[in-house]
Amino acid sequence: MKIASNRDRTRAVRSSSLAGGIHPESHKQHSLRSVIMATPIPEALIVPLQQHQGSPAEPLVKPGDSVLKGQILAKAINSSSLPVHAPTSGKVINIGPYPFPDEFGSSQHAIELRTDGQDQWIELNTVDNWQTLSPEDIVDRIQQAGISGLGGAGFPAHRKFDAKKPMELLIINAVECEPYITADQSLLREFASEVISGARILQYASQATRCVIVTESDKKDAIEKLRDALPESDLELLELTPRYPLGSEQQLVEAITGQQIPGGKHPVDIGILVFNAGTAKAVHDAIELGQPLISRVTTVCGDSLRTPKNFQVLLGTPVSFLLSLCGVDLNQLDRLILGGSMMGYTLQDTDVPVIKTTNCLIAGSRPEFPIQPTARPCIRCDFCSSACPVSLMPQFLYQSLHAENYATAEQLGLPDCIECGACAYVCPSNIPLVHYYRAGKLELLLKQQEQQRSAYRKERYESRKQRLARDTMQRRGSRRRSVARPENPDVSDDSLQTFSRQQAKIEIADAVARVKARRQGTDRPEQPASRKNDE
Amino acid sequence: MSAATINPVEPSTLWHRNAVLIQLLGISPVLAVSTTVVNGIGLSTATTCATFLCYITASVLPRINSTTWRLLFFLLIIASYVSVIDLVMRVYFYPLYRAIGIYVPLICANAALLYRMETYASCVGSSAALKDSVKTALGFFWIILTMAVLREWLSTGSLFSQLELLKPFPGSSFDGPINTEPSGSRFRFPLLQPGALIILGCLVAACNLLQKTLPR
Amino acid sequence: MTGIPTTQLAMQCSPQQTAGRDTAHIMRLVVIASLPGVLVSTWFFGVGTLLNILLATIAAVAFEALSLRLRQQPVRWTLTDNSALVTAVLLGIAIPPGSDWWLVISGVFIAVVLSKQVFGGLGQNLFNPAMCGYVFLLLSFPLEMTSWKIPVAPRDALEFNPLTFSNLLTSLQFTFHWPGTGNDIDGLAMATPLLEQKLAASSAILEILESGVTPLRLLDHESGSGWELSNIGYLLGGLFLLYKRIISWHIPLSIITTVIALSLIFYSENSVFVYGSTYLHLFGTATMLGAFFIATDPVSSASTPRGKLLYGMIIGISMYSIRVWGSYLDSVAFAVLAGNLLVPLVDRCTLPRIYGHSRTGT
Repeated sequence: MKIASNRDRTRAVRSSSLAGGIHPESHKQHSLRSVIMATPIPEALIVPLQQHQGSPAEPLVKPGDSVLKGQILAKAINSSSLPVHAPTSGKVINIGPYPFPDEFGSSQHAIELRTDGQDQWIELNTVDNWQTLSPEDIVDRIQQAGISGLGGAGFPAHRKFDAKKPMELLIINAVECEPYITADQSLLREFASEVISGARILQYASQATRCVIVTESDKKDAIEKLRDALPESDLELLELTPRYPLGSEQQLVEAITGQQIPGGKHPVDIGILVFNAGTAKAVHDAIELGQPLISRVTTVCGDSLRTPKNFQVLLGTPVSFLLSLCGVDLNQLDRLILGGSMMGYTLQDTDVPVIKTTNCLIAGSRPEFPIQPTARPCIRCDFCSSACPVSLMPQFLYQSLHAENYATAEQLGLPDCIECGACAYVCPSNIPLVHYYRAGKLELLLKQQEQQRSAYRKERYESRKQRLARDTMQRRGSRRRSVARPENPDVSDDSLQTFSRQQAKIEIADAVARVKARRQGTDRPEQPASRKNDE
Repeated sequence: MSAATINPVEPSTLWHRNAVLIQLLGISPVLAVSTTVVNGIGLSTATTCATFLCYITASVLPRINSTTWRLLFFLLIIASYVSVIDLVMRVYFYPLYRAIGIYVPLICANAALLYRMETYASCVGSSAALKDSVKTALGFFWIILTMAVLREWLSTGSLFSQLELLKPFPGSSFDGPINTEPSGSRFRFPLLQPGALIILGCLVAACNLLQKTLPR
Repeated sequence: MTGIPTTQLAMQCSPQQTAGRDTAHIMRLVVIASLPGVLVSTWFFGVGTLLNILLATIAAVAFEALSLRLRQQPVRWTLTDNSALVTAVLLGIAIPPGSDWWLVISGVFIAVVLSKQVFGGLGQNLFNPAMCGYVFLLLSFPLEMTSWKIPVAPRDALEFNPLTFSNLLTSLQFTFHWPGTGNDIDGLAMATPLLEQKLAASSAILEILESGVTPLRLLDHESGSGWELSNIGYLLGGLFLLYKRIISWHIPLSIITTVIALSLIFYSENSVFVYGSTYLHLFGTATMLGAFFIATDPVSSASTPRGKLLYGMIIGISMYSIRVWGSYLDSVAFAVLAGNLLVPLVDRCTLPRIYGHSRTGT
C-alpha cells in the first residue's frame, strides 16, 4: 500500500481527488479563542452504564456506597463491554433509568453520583516503563480503563486490536472536519506531546509498521505544536486539504493510502487502524499515568452563549451545567445540538449527561439555525450526488424510498450511506434526505429480522410436522408386530406421505391375502403381490 | 373454457360502456382516419358493415366458442368480410378508396370488434347480435365523427371538405392525386398524431366528467 | 437534578444547517444569466424578444396558478420556486420576435400545463417544458415560427435602428394587432437569421474583423452580426452559471465537443454550402443557448456524471444530424427532446461505482 513517504515529515496531501465533499463554513473561531478550561465539579453526576457500542457494564456498587475518583463503578461483562469509572469522589445515590443523550430522547440505566467536592483519587496502578508490558497487556489495560472511541462513534478501543494480525498503518485522526467542533484541535494545541505519546503506545500495542498523525491544513496552531513535539518520535504528520467529511474513516483511508475499504468491512481488515486524537491521549493517561477514562474535551459553542469555549469535562456532567458555565441566554437559545452541525442531533432535555462520545454541544439561536423550510419536490439537480462522499446517488435513493421501494434502495447502496448529511446540506429543495435514509435503513433492518424470524418459524414447523408423522408411524408400527416395517429415519415430508399411503396399500393387500388364505383353508400368510420395497 | 361457461358480457350501449371512450379499445383507426369528417364517415361506414356481417356470422355458427382456435376463426371471419368490403369500396368508391383505403384492412385489428365477437356475439342469438352490432357500430361512429369534426374544424376552420369523395360511381376520369390532409390548414397540430391523442384524451376526460356529474 | 428550564427547543434531523441556495435562487440565477444574450438580441432586433418574454411570463404564471388550483396544491408557495419564470424566459427567447400574442400564449400553455403540471408539477416532467411548447408551435404554425418581424419606421429607412420609440410601438403592433393599424405596419419581415445563413454564408463577425475596421463596428445595427453576438452573449451567461456552480460542466462540454468534432469531421472546403464551418455551427445557430440553458434543465436531463456526458453526446449528435441532414435548422428543440427520451436508460446504465464496491457492483 502506498503511503505518504517518510522523507518529508510533514506533507500536504491533496484530498480533492476524493469523491464528493462539501466546504461548509467552519464556525470554529469562537471556541478557539481560549484555552481548554477545566470544569468545576458539579453537584451530581449521571454516569450511564453504556457509553459505547456493545454490551452495557454491570454495576459493582450499590446506592449508598462512597467511591473515590477513578474507582470502578461497573465492570465489563464480556469482550464487547467496557467498564465505567467514577469521574470524581462522592456517594452513589441511585442506579436506575436516567435521560440519555441520543436522538430518541431515551432513558438508560445510569449511576447517579452525589459529589463531595474532595476530588480524591483512588490509588492508581502505574507502571514505570510501559514498553516492558506485552502488547496484549496494554490492550487489556486499555479495556480496563474504559476507553472507547472518543471521536463520536464509541467503538471500544480494545476490540480493534487483533493479536494475530499485525497492522501496517496506524492513523491518529485529528481531522475534525465537522463545523463547530474544536475539541481535537484545542487538545492538540495544549497536549500535543501526550497525544504523540499515546500514539506511540498504540503503535506498540498494534505492532503497526507505520504511524501517521493526520489533520487538516487550516488548523495552523495545532500543526505548529505537533511539529514542535514531533522530533521525539518517529511519527509522520500529514496535512490534508480541508473538506467535509474527510474525518470519516473511509474517506481518510482513501486520502492517505489511495485504497478504498471494501464494502461492509472495517479498516482493520486491510491492515489499517484508525484512532481519534482524544482516544490517543486517553491511552496515554491510562498507560503512563494509570488513570481511567473519566473526562474528555468537549466544545461548547453557539450564538446564545456569552463565552463559548472548550472544556475538560468530567463524564456525567449534565449539559445544563455546561451551558450555565458559558453564560447561556435562554431567550436566544432555540436549538440544542449534541455533536457538530452536520451530524449532530437536537436535544430536548438539558438534564442529559456528557458521555464518552460527546464531542460538542451547540447552543444555537434562531438566526444561526433557522427552521428548515418545507421540502419542495426534488428537481433532480444533482447537487446531492456531487456532494456524496461514497459516490451514491442520493436522488435515486430518495425517489425509491419515497415510493417505499426498499429493495431498489438496497440495490442502490442504501446500507453504504454514512449519514454524513452532505447531500441534505446542499439540497436546494430542502429535502430531509438523511431522515429518509435512516428510516429506510430501519425498514431494511426490520425486514431482515422478519425474514430471519419467518425462516426460523418455517424450520420449526417443518420439524414439528416430521415429528408428528414419525410418532404416527411408530404408533402404527406397534400395532402391527407381525409386519416388520423398516423405519426410515430421515424422510422428507413428501416421502412420509407416500410411505403411509404405500403402507396402507400394503396393509390392505395383506389383509386381503389373509382373508383369501383363510377362505382357502391355509394359515400361511402369502406374500402379497403389491408389497413394494419402499426404501 | 367451453361455450356453456362463457357468460355474455353486457350488450354495448352508446354511452355507458362505449368501446372507445370507456374501454379504450380500437383507438388506432379512430386516430388515423378522423383527420377530416369525410374520411371519418367513410371508414366508420365500412366498420359498420363489417361489424354487422361479422356479428351475424359469429352468432349463427355453432359451437365456435368451444374450440381452442376460436380467435383464429373469428379473425378469419373478419378478414374475409373486410376483404369483400375493400373490394366493394375499390369498385364503387374509388376516390374514397384512394384516400382511406390503407385503413380498411385495419378493421381486422380493431380490438373492440374482436373482443365483442368473442364475448358476446358468439354466445347469443342472431337477433341480439344484430342489435348489438348496430349499437357497437353507432358507438364507434359517433366517436369518430366527434373527433373528426373537432380536428377538421380546429385545423382548417371548415367542415365537410372533399364531400365529393363520398359519391359512389365517380366516373373513370378520376386519376389525380388525393391528399388525405385538407389543404389550407392554419393550425396543423390537430392533424398530427400527437394532436389526435391529446384531443382523444380531452374527450375521455370530458366523458369521465359527465359520467360523474350526471346521475345515471 | 435542576436543569435549565427551557421552552420547547427546536427538533430537527441532521444536518442542522443547509447551504442556503434554494430552488428559487437557482432559477433566478438562470434567468439573470440569460440576460446578456437577451440584451444583445434586443439591441439588434428590437424589443420583440423582451415583449415575448414579458407576455410569456405573465401567461406562465397565470397558467401555473390555474393548474395548481385545479390540482389543489398551495398556489402561492409553489409559484415562488420560479420554475414557471425560467420556462417562460426560455420560450420567449425561442419564439421569434414580433410573433402574435396568441402564439406565445398557446406555446406557454403547452409548456406549463401539458408538459409539466399534467405530469405532476415540478420535478415530475419527463421532457423539457420550454422545448415541448416550442416544438408544438413549430409543428402547428410552421410559417409563423420562421419569420422574424423587426420594426423599421419608414422615416428611418436610411438608418436602421430598431430601438427607437416609434419602433417600440411598431413592435407592440406586431404582437397585439391594435385595431386601426391595418396594413400600415412597416417592418422588416425576414426569415430567421438562421435560414438566411443556411450554414453557407460566412460569419459576419469574422468578416468585419478581417476587414480591418474597428471592432466597435460590430455593434452597429446594420452589421448583420447580431445573431452571432447574441449567441456569444448566451455563452457568457452559460460560463457565469458554471462559475456559480448552478450547472455542472459535463453537459455543455460534451454537447459543444460533439458538435465541434462532427463539424470538423464533415467539413471540407467544397461542401461548405451543406455542412457549414465549425464556427457557424457553434455561433451561427442556437447551440450555445441549447448547451447551457436548455439541455441543462435539471429535471429532464441525466443525473449521473457519466450519464451527463453520454446525454450531451446524444444531444450533440442529434443537433448536428438534424441540422445538416434533416429539414429543420432549429434542431436544438428536437435534439433535446430526443435526449430526454433516453435519459432513464442512460441513468440506469451509468450509475457510479459506490465506495468500496468493485466495478461489477458487489
